[in-house]
Amino acid sequence: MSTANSQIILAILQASPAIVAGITGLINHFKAQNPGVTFEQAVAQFFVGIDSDTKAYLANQAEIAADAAANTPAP
Amino acid sequence: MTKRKLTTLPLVALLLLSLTACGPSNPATSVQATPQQKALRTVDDIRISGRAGMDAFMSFYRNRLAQIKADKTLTDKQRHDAIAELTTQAARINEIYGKSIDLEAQAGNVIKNAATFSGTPVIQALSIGQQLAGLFNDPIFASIGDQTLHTIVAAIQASVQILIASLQAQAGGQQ
Repeated sequence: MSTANSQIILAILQASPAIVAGITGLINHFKAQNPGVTFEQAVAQFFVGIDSDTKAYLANQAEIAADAAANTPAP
Repeated sequence: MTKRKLTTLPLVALLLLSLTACGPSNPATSVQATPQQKALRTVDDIRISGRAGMDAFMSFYRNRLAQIKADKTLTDKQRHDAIAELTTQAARINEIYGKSIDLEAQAGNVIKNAATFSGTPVIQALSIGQQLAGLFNDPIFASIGDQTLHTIVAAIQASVQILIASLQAQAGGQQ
């Protein structure tokens, strides 16, 4: 993985716990579909190789999780 | 059911029937299409419709979220509750979509890997098709007031029913 990609990933991870939760969910989803892959392989596959439908599913999950996390209760 | 839906759904069903059950417009190709090829084409139609449905839903979801946030008539609590309900529904629909991706891939693999389109592989694909039908019959779709989403979910249901009917006929022929 290139330095530029690592920096992008770090920026995403630091951006929001909800986004991290969404990405983790997506990586776990990919691992469940592909038994035997390591976490590092799953992360690499997440960013470069998964099919567009699964990417859409993961992106939706991260977006909805971020919206839910931002919905703070009324005081 | 609205008048628009009543007129749109038969058109969608007819379109899908022409694309899947009857094969391509070229009569020679249509005659040559095997049950395996027809079933794979139907799985592909389900996948394409599923993605279109999810994209339509996300568009509806973003618009609805923006409406709730901008609605000055809501109290803070009402706004919070409305957003919580919307995000909960959206997460559930996305999970159904994620499950459908897995099932479509499984159905495609079972059909593709079958040395002959008969016997056990057909039964496996039939079981997967029936699980897909269950997913898209989920009442949560009826609770979303978006016409585009309803139309596309109906198209997916029609494709799944065509797949199941095709596989049932094939399984029946083997008994």
